[in-house]
Order: sequence, then structure tokens, then C-alpha cells
Amino acid sequence: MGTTNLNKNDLQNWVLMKEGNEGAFNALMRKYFNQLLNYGYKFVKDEDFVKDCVQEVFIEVWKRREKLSVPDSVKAYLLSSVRKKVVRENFRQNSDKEEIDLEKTDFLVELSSEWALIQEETESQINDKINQILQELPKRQREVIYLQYYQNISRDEIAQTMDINAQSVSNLLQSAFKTFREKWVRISTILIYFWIC
Amino acid sequence: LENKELSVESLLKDESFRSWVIDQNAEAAIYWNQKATENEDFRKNITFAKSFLLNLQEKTTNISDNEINRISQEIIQQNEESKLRFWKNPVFRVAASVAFLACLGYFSYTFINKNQGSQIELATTSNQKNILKENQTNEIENVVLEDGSVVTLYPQSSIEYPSHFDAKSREVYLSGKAFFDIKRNPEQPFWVHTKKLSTQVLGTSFLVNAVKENTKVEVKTGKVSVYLHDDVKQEFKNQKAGVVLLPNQQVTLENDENRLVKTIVEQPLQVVELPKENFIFDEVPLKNVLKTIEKAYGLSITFDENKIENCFLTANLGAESLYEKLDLICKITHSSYEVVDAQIIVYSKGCN
Repeated sequence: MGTTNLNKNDLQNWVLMKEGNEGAFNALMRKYFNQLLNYGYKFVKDEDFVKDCVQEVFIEVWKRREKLSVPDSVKAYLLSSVRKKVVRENFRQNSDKEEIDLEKTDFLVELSSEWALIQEETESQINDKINQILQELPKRQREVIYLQYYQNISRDEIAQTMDINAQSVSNLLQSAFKTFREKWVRISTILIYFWIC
Repeated sequence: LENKELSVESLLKDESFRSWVIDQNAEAAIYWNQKATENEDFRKNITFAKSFLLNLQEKTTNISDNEINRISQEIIQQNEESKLRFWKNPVFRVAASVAFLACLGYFSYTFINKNQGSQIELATTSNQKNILKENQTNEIENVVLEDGSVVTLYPQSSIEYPSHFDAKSREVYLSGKAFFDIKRNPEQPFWVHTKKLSTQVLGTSFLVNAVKENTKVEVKTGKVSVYLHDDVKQEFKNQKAGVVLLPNQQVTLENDENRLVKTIVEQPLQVVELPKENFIFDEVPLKNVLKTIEKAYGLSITFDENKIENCFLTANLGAESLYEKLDLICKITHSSYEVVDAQIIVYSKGCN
């Protein structure tokens, strides 16, 4: 994983935060809070609940700042904390219901309605197709695609986040691209896009 | 970004492109909308990449930077003050946080000393040796109870509790003002007794507030149930005798009448922090406006749906308090409202 400037900033902020620097903590929160909200929402469709979970992850980070190590990737560390937190707390709150099994959970992607409304017809056709294909992707393929493109993180970071090895991430991404391309060609008779791996 | 690099893949990784789609950055929007008109391939790739990201995003779950700043300040302060989870952080509903304010006037100061009767009562119910903590300093003090619940005691306040809680209930006696962070345990309900009121913790987190002669219990989030102290003595824990309080509701004790009156707190706060945009209404049916407010404040609003059928509202109510919002809405839609039994009732003559 190449260390980009962004990652360097993260690590600097993390180190400062560990020393009790409030500005650095605030900077990390501003940078990641919304991204983490969106990720959590993929597992549990309850914005308030997910917000509480993300908040709690930051509370724990701040409380335990002195004891925390410096992660390879701050973003992957936070994503994976939120992932675990959402699942655990959802189980705790709904102890009468079944626990979300990460292996079984649908990684939900729904049609973005705002988007569909605003767009002109051709764009909405494209939108529908993308939506349909994403829906049809197996959930773990969908999750790697989401992490790779929406969260814009590296394969190593995806591996850390999902707690699987890097090779599995590559395999999942390969299958996802393949499935996406095949489905796209199948359902588009007019427009053909090339997906670059 | 070079033109030749305008592939879907490179767009998806481009910071400016991402800030347009994900953060709705206005500058980036101008740039990319312009770019899309340059040639057909650009337009297709931009359309595809944008749609792809939005479909992955699925829904804008973003909250404002201001709110993030507020939360971060809260976390920092909370941690410094006492490592307590404050009521604004109803995070996992394992702990019930109570702020309990009981200014009982002149008598309260001397209550613990003079009113031996109540102390004995508590002692006999728990059959345990009681511990009395008085805060005579000018700073708040933390008291950790046996069950892990934490009581933050304000200056000039005192709390009495058994060294070991009864198996069936946890009961403490408070004089003055205190903040409770209570470990939830339905098997062993938590009771806070003051001279006149007894409050039972029913779950999650909440703020209870009683001031001056009119003892008052105020709930921010969560749920408590409040009883007249005398009722609790007579019909111990008879559910019928109590008043259940939900967020933004309060109960006051009318001294002369010796009864509990349930109303809405003076400054209701949003229970569900909705984004400000949700309060920008453009020709929105009044019914939907009221539903939005109902959701945000967790208060019940009653109205005649048929009457307000033709009422529409165009207004920006993002900054106003609940009552300011209601005043404005009523002014615009020629209606009126009143608060009855912690409910808001909107009266309308209808709109043409």
C-alpha cells in the first residue's frame, strides 16, 4: 500500500490525537464521520442507530487514545470498527431477533430515489441498469465494490476492513468485475461501456 | 485530470469528481457539468461514474459539519468531565443516564438532618446499612454505586444509598441535584426518591429536572416514570399512580394541589436531529409539515386532517424553536394551537 499524502495526514492526526490534541481528533471526525455513516447504513437501515454507533466508535477512540496503536490505515481501522459495532449493537438491541450474521447479511444497495427523479431519461436508464446489476451482485462482491469505489480505499485496506486476506479481496473484486461486465453487456443493447480492472 | 484519462475508473478515483458527486461541491459541479458537454464519450463516462457512485451511496446519510463539530466537542467534554455518558449520547441504551435536580427549597437543606423518618424508611426497605454522601465542595463529585451506576453529585447536594442493593430494586434518596448514569437492569429497577417525588428509571437515557418550589421532572430522551412520594409509600410501586414521561415532556408538582401535571418542557429539543433542510418547506401540505415536527420532537400533534387538507406551507423553519415554528405555521395557515396534557393540538378553519 503506497502511503499517499492523505494517509500521512491521517497518521499525523492520529499521533497528535493520541497525545490529546483535540483539533486532530476533530479533524479525523470531520473527515470520516459521514463516510462511516454511509458504510454503517449498508448493514442496518436506521440512520439514528448508525449515527449512535459511529459516535460510540469515536467516543472509544478518544477514551482509549493513549492505549491505541497507530494503525496502518486510519480509515480501514475506523471502517472495520464501525462494521463490528453496528453488528454487535444491533444484536444487543434486538436480542429477541437473530443476530446479523456478517456472512449472511445482505449488503443492501437500494435505488437512490433522488437521483432517479432528477435525471433525464437516458441517464435514468443507465441508473436503473447500474442499480439492477449492483442488486444482483452477491453481497460480498457488492461490499468490495462499495469499499473500493465509494470509500475509495486500497485492497489492503479492504482486507483489513472486512477482516479477510488481500488475496480474497482480489478474488472478490475480479469476480465482481466479471459479473458486472457480463450483466452490463447482457442488459444493454445500445450502450456498451468498458470496465477497466 | 487529462482528457484522455477520463475513463470511468479514473473518474471514480478523482477527488474533484468525488467531491462533486458525494459532497455536492458547487465548484466541482460547474467543472464537471462543463466537462460533460465537451464530448459524447466524456458525457457517457461522467454519467456512468456519477450514477455508479450514487447507487453505491444509495442515500445521503451525511450530517452537517456543524453537527460533527458539536458531537466531537461533546465527546471531548464528556470525557473530561467525568467519563460519563451524558444524556445526549443515548448510545447503546445499556446505561440510563439521569440528571436529577431537586431544589427543595429551605426544607431540603435540612432535610437529611431533620427528616429522620424518611431515612429510616429507606433503611428498613433495604435492610442494609446506608451510606450518606454529601457534597460540600464547590465542584461536582462522582459517587460510584455497587452496581456500577455513577452518580454525579452537584454542590450542596447529598445522596443516601445502601451499601448493598436489595435484590428486587435499587433505591437511592436524593436531596439537591444530581446526574445519574444508571446501568440498566430490568430485574432490579432503579428508583430515585426525593422528598416529594419518586422517579423510576424505565430505560435508555433521560434528564430529570426539578427546580424551586415547583418540583419538576424533565425528560430529554428515554423514559422515566414519576410518582408522588406519598403514593409510592402507600401503594408501593403501583404503576397506576405514576406518570410516564417521554422525551420533551415534563411533570411539575403543583404544591397546593399535590398532584402531578404533565406538560411539554419549556425549550423542547429535537429528539431526532433532522437536517435543517428537512425544515425548508416549499408548498408542502400542512399535514406533512406537522408530521415532520412530530417526528423531530417526539411529541404528539393532533389535528383534523380534513380541515387542513388544502393548507400548504412555504417556509424555512430550520432555525426556530418548536414554539416559534408552531407560531409561524399557525400565522401562515390561519390556525391556532394549544398544549394539552403534553400534546399539541392544532385548530384550523381550513384554507382556500
